[in-house]
Parts: sequence; structure tokens; C-alpha cells
Amino acid sequence: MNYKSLITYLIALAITLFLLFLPEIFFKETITEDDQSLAIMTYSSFLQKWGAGPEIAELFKKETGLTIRWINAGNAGLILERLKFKRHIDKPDLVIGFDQFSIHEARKVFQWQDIREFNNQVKDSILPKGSKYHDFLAYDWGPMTFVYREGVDIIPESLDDLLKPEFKNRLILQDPRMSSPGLQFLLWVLAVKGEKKGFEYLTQLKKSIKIMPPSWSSSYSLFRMSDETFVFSYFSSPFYHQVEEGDDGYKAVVFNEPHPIQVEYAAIPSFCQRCDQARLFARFLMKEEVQKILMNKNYMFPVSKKVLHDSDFIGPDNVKYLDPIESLRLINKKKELVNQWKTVFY
Amino acid sequence: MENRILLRNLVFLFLLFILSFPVVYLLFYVEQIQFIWDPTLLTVLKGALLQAGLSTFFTLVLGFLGALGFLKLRGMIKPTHFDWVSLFAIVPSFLPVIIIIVLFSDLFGFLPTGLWGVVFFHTMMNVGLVSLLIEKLIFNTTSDWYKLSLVSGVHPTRFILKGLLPELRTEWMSLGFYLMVLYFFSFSVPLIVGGTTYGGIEVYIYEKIIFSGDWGSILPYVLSLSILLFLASRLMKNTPHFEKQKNQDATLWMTSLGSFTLLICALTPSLLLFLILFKNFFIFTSLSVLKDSLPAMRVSLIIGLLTGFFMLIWLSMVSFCFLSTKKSQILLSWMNPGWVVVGFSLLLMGGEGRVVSLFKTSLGLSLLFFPYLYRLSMDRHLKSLSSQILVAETFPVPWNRIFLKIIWPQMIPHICLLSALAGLWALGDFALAEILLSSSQTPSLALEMKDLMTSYRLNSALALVLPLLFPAVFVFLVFQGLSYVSGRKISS
Repeated sequence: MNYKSLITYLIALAITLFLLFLPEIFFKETITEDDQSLAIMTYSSFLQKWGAGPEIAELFKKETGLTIRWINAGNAGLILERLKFKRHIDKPDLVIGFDQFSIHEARKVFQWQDIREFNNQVKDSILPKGSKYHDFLAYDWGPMTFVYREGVDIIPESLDDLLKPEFKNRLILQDPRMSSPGLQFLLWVLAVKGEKKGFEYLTQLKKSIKIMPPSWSSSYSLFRMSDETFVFSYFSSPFYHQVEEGDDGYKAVVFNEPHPIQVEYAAIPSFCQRCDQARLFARFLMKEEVQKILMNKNYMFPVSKKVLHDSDFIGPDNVKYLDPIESLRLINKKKELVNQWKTVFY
Repeated sequence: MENRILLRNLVFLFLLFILSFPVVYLLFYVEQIQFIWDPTLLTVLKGALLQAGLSTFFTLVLGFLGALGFLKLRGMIKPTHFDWVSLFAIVPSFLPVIIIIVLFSDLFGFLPTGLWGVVFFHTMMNVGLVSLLIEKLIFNTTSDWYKLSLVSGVHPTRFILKGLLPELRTEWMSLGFYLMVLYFFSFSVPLIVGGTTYGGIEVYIYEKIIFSGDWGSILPYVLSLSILLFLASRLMKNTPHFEKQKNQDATLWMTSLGSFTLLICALTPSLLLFLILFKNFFIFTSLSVLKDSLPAMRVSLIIGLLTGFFMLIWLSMVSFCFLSTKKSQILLSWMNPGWVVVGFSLLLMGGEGRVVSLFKTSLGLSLLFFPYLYRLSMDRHLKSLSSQILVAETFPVPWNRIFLKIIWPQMIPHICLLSALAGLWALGDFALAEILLSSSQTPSLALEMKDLMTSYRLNSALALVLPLLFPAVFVFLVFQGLSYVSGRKISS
């Protein structure tokens, strides 16, 4: 074996790797105790160039002179797990991306600052009743429903319609064990039908379900690739196709039953280090310009009525909402209900 | 003599330490550990066994047919061209799973789900790789027999049925075992198309973490499953493997063993993938995003190369140890706990700078891939050197010379191939990268694909498939180059 050539080759490779690493090495990101930038943890798509994060950070810096240091939590479902394992020095001052179902668990693990004053900052709030909390600040929301493409032969009007043979193998749902929209659907059925009848309904619904992936993104991607299907998604999903793709063919179903709503929250943990700045940011989130960014990037409804009315988004005026209190009553029994769900689907 | 054994033992212990430290670290971190029996685990195990068994069967059958096609092809084209066709065949095994599933569902207009969905996607993703492995195995070990059978006028079908299949049964068993474990612990495919019954073991663990976040009750499950596999692998017979034969004339295999058209078994998944990409004009979108995706390509390239290098180190260490049967059994039975467990363990260790997180991601991936790659062919190749080492030891030749002159030169092509595979697999990962590539740093291409899909941008995500092929080709060439440089003197 020619060890001389081998060593030369390895050295050349080490240099290549070093060159590839150069941008990382020159990007100083040492976190110190006296670091003044506001540390915000959120899910990764919020931070990408097409997400709301970069624009919000720029505006925040322009207005306050403060910089934001984003902490990428990856998947929204893993935010709390990541938070549990964070070291003291790089713990966030504010967290963005909780939903109403993770609040319960988040309160069990950490204490959160009282930020109710920012809830009242928006005078024309269109947030459905029962979605506000003293320690979690709702910054966008949206009813959930089935989304379809124009041209389908039948459109459901009620949950019972989904049991019809015409819907056989056409529904794309999400797994409630791993996906928040999946849990929304389960709780929706149970809230509307009652627990006993709800599970009977789910047993009957099995034949209509085409697939139940673990995340909303997988389910929506599969929906886009398969014709004649209905995906459980956000009422505002069609706006994405309208705005970004100029495609008006995507529609949201309006059901006779009240729709579940998904609310996204921000919160300040009690262990925050730059708490004043975090509170400043929470206030900033409720401002009109920021609400507009959130609406246009997240494709969710804003909290402010004015922001919605000034946009091309059509509000969910003809939609009835499920009482969030009912969802919360059920979410307290999450473990038990999901175990029962397993007996239906296993 | 004693010193050299001590050194080899120390290296082996160090390797075991590296492999086990993620779960050991987490065990120390979690305060209260308790085992709570969950009756649904039995259903999960049953489903996982069934899907793994069927997936293994179909992959082996189609892989064998594809291998016959590859054997024919090897004699027909130049070795470099053969390498490119090989790379083309393994593309589905390193693309992110969701991309493959979405593309196939577009092509067929329907999506196979449940048991057959899992079997279908497992087979589609791995048949190219398995074909190549079987082809290499047949080419390396049975060339002399085949020549003899040709001279004796034995019909090729008879050679396959009476010679190839029964004589290489140990090799089929070990390849089958490798696939069984791979599919039994498969994560992404069962997660997306498996539904509840065929969700699989890794999904079960992931669900527990996401759903309950109770690490104290999750770790005992993880450990129990690793032990279960450890015990199951003891059932494998430990018979000697065949040695590499000297007669390796590629043109020999052109003589009517199987048909060239059988190659379609191995190449269909890749052909279909590219067909869909062209059909939907993603190819043009891909070209337009090429410039924008350069930063993510760089990150992917780093992850691919580093993972490959880590694998090169681990496998070289194994070669140096030249494990006894008992120690080899330990590695053959080794199963690292799930992706989430390894991810969180490395996360807990601190150091979240950009450079460190890239290192941690690559290290984690190499630890996760190691047991699979060792099982895949490393053990078999090492055992085939036994007689040479026995002769050298009787002289006696010092161990470092045995390693440098006998083991390393013969093992390096295999090590490079397996390292390249690890690098390629790493390119498609977003599960571990999602946990470890923190801060607002540039994501890898696979992670960017996943983020795009989370924001409705499916077309943009699919457009990144082609940019992903560039780092893949580079990683492949780097390790093939290393193999070439290492083997230069031997072939001259």
C-alpha cells in the first residue's frame, strides 16, 4: 500500500473540509452571560428566509435597536423537550410556537411570566372567545377544516357526510399522537359527538381515511400529489395557493358543526435573563405591522380585525367555532383519549 | 504478544464506549427511571416483525435478480461507468423518505399504505443497494466456481439453483439479517405510511417522547429493545464466510448468467424518480434554485463528508482489532437506541456553536449507521482474512505489520465503500439534524426540504432533489478516490 499517497490524499481532504468550514469558523456565535441580544426559541420554518422570523427581527431592530438571537427548536412538537434540556447560558428569553394543547404541559414543567397586559393591547381582537391566557400570548389563529381542490364530485357539509361511501379512502388526516392538527380532529369529533359516540364515529370513519401521517406537512404534501382527496388543514390554507401560486382552485369546507381552532402562542419563561426585552418583544408582536407579517408569512389569521380587513384574506365569517373550553376539558384527558383512539385504530 | 492483545482490547473497549455513550449519558441525566408495561407494544412488535419479514423477502428476491443484471453489465462497460450506474441505483436509498413517498404517489396517482405500503417503499428504496451488494458478493466469491461450471457445460440456471443459492446460504442469511434489522428499526417509512399497526418500534419510541415527554419511562423501553435484538441475533449461526477468489474477470459473467434486462429490478426506483422529476418540470425549478441552495449544499457536504470520515475511523478501528468471534457477535448484535434518544443525548452534552453542532450531527449519524454497516459486509470481509492472519501470526509477524500489510490494504476498499454509504445516508437525514443543527444557522438541504414542506412549499422542496445530488456525487467520489489511492500500489 502506498501510504505516502494516502496521507497526501487525507491532508488534501482535511484542507477541503477546513475550507468548507470557514464560514462557520468566521461566524462568531459565542454566547456569554452579558450577551444583550434577545434569545427567542421557535420552530425552524419560522426562521427560514420565507418565514416570518427574519422580517420581524429586522423590524424589531429598526424600532428598538435590539438584536434577536434565534434558537432553532426544529420541529414545533419538540419545543418543550428542547427547553427541558437547555443549558442555563443558552436558555431563551421568549418562546414562540406553542399551541393551546402544549400550554398545559408547558405549565407543568416551567413557570411563565404574566403577560395578560399584551392581550388587551389589540382593541379590535377577533380571537375566538376563551383563547386568551394570562401567561401565553396568542399571536395568530385559524379555524381548522378539510381543504380540497375544485372539481371534486362531492363536498361534505357535516361530519356525518364524511362517512358516506363517496368519501371512501379520500380523507388525509394526521396522527393525533404526534401532530397537533391530528389531535384537533380527534377532539373535534369527541366534542361534537360526545366521547362514546365519537369513538363509534371514528370506527366508522376508518374506511374513509386514506392515510394518517405523523405531521401536517407530510399530510399536506401527500394531499397535493393525490387527486380527489380532502386534507384536514387550516381554513386559511387556500390563501397560500392564491397568493403564492395564483391558484384559486383550493377551497376550505364550511361545516354545519362548529370548527375547532388552532391558536399559536408566545410566552416568557420565568427563567428569562433579558425579561424586559422579552416583554418589549411580546408587545411588539401585537403591533399592526407585525401582525401583518405573521398573517402573510404563516398564512394564519391575525388577532386584529383591522389587519384582516385591510388584506386580501377572507375572514371566516360564516364559520362557527368550537368552544375552546370544551377542547380544554378534553385535553386534560389527552392520555386516556389517545389510548382509546389507539384501540380504534390498532 | 500480550501488549498487542491489550492494545486491541483497549481499542475495542473504546469503540464500545463510543457506541454506548449516548444512552449511558441520558441514563445518568434522567432522574427517575421506571418501566411501565404497555400492552400495545406487543401489537407494535408483531406489526414490525411482519413488515420487516416481508420487506426483507421482496428486497432480497428483487435484489438477487437485479444483481444478475449488474453482473452482466459489469462485463459490458468500463469500471468507471459501472460506478456511475451504481451511484444512480442507490439514489433512492439516500433521498429523504417523504420526498420519495410524495414523488411515487404522484406517479401512481395513489398511495400504498399500511403493511403493503411499508413493504413497497422499503423495497423501492433499498433494492438498488442490495442488488449491488449481492452482485459484489457473487463476483468476489464465486467467479472460480462459475468458470468451472462453464467449462463443465453446466447450465447457468443449474449453477444458480444448485450452486450459488445453497452454497452462499450463510451470506444470504447475514444479508437477510441485516435487512430485517434495518426494516425492524426503520423510522420514516412506517411513520408516514405504516399507520398504527405497522408503525414500527422507532415510531413507538418517538411517539412516547413526543406524546408524554416522560424520559424516565422511555429509556427502559429503548434498552429492552436493544437487549431484545442482542438476544435475537444470537440465533444467527456463526459459520465461516467464503474467501475472496482470485479469478475476477468481469467478462466471464457476460456468459448467459441471467439477463441484462434483470437490471431493471435494481434500476426501476431510480428511473421512476427521475422520470417524475422531469415530468413535473422540477428539473427546471431545480436549476433555478441551484444558486440559492449553495449554502445548504455546503452544509450537506460537510455533514456527508464528516459522517463518512467518522465511519472510516470506526471501521478502521474494527479492522485493527480483528475481532474474535465473540466480540464480533457483540457488534453484530449491537443496536443503537433511536434517533431521538441519540439526538437529545448529544444535545445535552452542550456546545451548540455552529462548528460543534455540525460535528455532533455527523458523529450522531455515524453512531446510528455503524451497526447497520458493520452487519452489512464488514464482518464478512474481515472473517475472509482469517487464514492469512493465522499464517502471519504463526511466523510470528508483529501485529502492527499484520494490520498495515495484510488487513488494512485489503479492507480499505470495503471501508471506503461503507463510509461513502454512511455519507450518502447522512445527506438525506433531517431527523437528527432537526435536533442538533440549532441556532439560526444554514440548514442542510434535507432540513431545508422539510422546512419548505412545513410552509406549503412542496414544489420548492422537490426542486432541491437535484442540488442534493451534487454533494452526493462529491461524497461518493471522495471515498472512491480514497479507496483508489489506498489500493494503488497493490494493483500495480
